[in-house]
Amino acid sequence: MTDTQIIEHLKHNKYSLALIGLYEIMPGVKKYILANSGTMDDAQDIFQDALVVLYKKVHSNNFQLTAPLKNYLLAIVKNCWLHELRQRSKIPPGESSGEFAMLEIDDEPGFHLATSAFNLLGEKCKELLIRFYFKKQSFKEIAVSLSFSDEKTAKNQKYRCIQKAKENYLILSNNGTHG
Amino acid sequence: MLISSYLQQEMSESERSAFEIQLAADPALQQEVKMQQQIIKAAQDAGLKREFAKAIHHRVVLKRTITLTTVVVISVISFLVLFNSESIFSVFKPGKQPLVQKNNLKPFVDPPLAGINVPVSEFVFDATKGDTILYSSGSIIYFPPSALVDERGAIIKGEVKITYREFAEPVDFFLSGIPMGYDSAGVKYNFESSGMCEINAYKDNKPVFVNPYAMPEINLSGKNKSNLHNLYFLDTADRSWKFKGNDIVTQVRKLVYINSAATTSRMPEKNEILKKPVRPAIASGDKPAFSIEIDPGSFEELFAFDRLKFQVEDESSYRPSDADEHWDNVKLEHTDKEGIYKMTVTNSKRTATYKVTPVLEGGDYQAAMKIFNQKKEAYDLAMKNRLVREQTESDSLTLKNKRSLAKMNADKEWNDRINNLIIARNKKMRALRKHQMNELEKAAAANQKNLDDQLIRMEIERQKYPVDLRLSSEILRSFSINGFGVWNCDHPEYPNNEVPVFATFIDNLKNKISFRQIAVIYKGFNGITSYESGQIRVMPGSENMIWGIKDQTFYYFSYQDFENAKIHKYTGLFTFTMRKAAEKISSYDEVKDLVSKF
Repeated sequence: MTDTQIIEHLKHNKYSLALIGLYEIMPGVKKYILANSGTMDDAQDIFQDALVVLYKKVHSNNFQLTAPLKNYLLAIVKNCWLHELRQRSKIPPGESSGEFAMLEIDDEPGFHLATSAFNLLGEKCKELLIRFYFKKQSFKEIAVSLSFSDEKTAKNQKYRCIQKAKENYLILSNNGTHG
Repeated sequence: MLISSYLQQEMSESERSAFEIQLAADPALQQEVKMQQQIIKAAQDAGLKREFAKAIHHRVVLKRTITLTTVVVISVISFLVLFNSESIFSVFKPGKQPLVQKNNLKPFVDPPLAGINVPVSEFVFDATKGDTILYSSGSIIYFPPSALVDERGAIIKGEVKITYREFAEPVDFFLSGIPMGYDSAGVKYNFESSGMCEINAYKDNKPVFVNPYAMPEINLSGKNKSNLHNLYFLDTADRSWKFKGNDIVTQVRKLVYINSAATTSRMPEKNEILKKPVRPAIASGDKPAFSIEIDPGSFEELFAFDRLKFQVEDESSYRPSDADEHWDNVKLEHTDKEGIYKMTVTNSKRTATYKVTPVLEGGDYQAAMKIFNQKKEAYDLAMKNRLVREQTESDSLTLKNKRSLAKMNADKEWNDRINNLIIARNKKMRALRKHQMNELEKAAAANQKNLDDQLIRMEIERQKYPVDLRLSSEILRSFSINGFGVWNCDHPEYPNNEVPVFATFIDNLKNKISFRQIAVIYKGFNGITSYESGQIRVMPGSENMIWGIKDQTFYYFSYQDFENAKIHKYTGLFTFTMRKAAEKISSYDEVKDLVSKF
């Protein structure tokens, strides 16, 4: 599969098809993460994070591929892992993965905190917010799929979930659990 | 609600302007908007990540399902997975299992208490003759003659040393530092063990290896007879568990009896099925095609071809949207027609079945034809040899009868051998117990007037009981090993009811404790989940216990403590006040004794 085909699949949200081409770098990802203080679990997780970053890059207006896509994805993997290590306070800020140093990932202050706050939500809350904000489903659709009595209940529940996430965010922030 | 409306761009122009004026003047509101924006972004990223995780999982499930289907289609014997799944030598090439980890890697096997571990037993025998090792748990380890080779594959002669130990319960898993999690495409499972052991062999203190033509056999004694458990090998080089097929579960009754049905797949048939190679075809380019990876050992007629695709034969029945569908299960089967396969894909919504043909593109096709020609030549030669052999055999017995007879003999041989092993083992165990009882009775006689007399008699009864209990309800899990290391009969359990908790640990003086290692134990589940930081997972509604180690000191949060804590799925953050073991631990028996009291 060519780089152009993979990018087209990503642009059209064809995750499985895009992955057929992209999964080829997984052995390289495992090797890199394991050689840099990580585990197999970390490798899986970071690979998924890198796919998210790549997806967002491809969907951004100024995306232009200047290197083979798999090299580019591997560079994202490295940056994601350096970012993760930084979160775990293992390396000083500023270090990057060299040739693709410009590939910044979401490390605006507080985003990691927001991710943790979201992850601490119950499964139903997470599902609801994903359906609403990612899948762009209507409250009517959400009410049906998550067995809420009506749209209004789904909407109220969404409000409560956001409030709970904010509460988690503030607790985590005050506890200094995350940077 | 106002912030949501603003972020969702649901405000009118005038509402928006008014809100933005307010926003510019209010730093607290700015912070609130930013926080909500980031949470929304986190939800979107989580959705996206989930889509990719599903795609990865789908890809791996596809791979696995094809292997499993093949097991049914070509009747590959489960016990023989060890023989077929990979090159034997690849498992134990020197250096592939590093004893010392690279400097910057945390050890994969990481015992939490320095100097305290599950004890190892040593056995010495003549490798040329082989031996049967009877382990104290009741397990039987059989070494056939010449079962060991050196790093160049030369058969080891003379005295060898075997080290062996078993890990039977959560405290063993914890002390060993062996990871008890199993990862499949990013989905984490907890291993429930029905028997785990570590076995190594040495000649003059240098490691030696398994002879692939005379593999040792382990018969692990246990109680769990579930046939959902599979066999896994701990690949310390790859830092993961490797699936190795199934074991044979034998229920040992009081009178030794082996279920012949359990052993019917024990021996390989001499006349193996010859797979006719499939002539590769060129992809038409305009027909839809699926990429499917073929695992080693499955659809062996196809495996040699790189970048194989499966092209849909009849396009009239093809739904283009199926290419984008997430399929939970994919099944590939042979059909009556050579070179045509039946592919069935399913998910919760629908099932689709297509007739497909394996095809290749461009350079891949050229390479495949080269392989095909080689395989065809080998196949033709093998068929010719078989015809000659069958012709000879038909002079005495029909081939069918001869195969049946060979199979019956193989079963009988297996039954006799395992029966003999069990009889010898039981005899030895009874003799040992009898000796122990005599010693205790002597001690009791000498202390007739002593107040401890009654306690000694009780101990005699306690010693007597497990022997009969073990021999009446024992399970033996039998499997051959193609390498030395850690072998585990396990069932990966998906922890449906686990929830994450950001844990802070303190002692009774409210001092914060940073543990080197933390384990969560669920009562009734023979496994553990281990963590290195406070981001742990627990199972509300079940009996949970937490262990932690710091500076050789054992801390715990008991089942009762957990119940009192009333943790639920929305708890999120929790401070655990840990109990400290009275004294520093100095031996394995002390830890066992300690945890048995919780």
